[in-house]
Amino acid sequence: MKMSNDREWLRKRAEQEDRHFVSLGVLTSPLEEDHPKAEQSELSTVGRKRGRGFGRIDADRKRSGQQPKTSKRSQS
Amino acid sequence: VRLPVELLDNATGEFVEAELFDEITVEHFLETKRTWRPLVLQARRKLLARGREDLVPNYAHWDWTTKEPLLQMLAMKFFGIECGGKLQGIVEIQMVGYECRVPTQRGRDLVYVDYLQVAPWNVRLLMDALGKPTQFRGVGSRLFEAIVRFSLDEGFKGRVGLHSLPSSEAFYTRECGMTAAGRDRAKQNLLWCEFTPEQAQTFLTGGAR
Repeated sequence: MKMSNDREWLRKRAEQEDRHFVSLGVLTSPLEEDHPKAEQSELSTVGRKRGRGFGRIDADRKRSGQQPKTSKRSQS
Repeated sequence: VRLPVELLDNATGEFVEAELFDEITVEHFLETKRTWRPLVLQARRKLLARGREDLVPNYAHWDWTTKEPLLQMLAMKFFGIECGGKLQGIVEIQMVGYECRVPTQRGRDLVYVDYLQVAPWNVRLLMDALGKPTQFRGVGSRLFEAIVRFSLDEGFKGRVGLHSLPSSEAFYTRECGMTAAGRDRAKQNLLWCEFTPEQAQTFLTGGAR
């Protein structure tokens, strides 16, 4: 793999990046920060009804060799 | 993989040498928890106190240490960037489980970006909230470049897919030029964004919009 050494490209991208957040992942819930016990399960539970399925999604993915639950159903 | 890459030093405006690598360990995850997370939460509190909920990032709750088991999985890959002895950004991608949704590419394999985070001291919107300057610029772009180049190297022809957080949608669609292919109800209604091979090339060669 060879990365770009084009400095103008980086300058331009950095300017774009300065105007936005670039992070990706699951959506936060404002409740999570104040619930330390939820931290271990938060990656799986955010956006779902609290108290159900904690940790289940990630565990399922691990067992199935990374078949995210969204892949087929949502492609229509 | 260990490759030299350049970043921009915000204090001097000069280019500085950093290192892109894929040998992520649990120590890197712990580093994010120890040094990144408090700063993100601090900025979040400041923004909320000022009534700027619109600027609060959607990732204040993340904990990379929960991802330790994924380090062993062949279908997963992590890249990080280090500079000045500190982790400046990290990304998790996966090579199975997702397919293209854009009509011209539908059903083809792609590289899926699961998580990407830049150290908070490199995020202008956060550091502005804290009244401090950013340290390095271009970290997220370098990570995203690495994903696209990895996609090319691994035969995915530059195809990349991701579910964008609301706070990042403008970056991936407007600035990077990805196609927004609808919201995914099965994934928190996040926006599905995708690079076709042509768009990936445009991103790498300079054009964005």
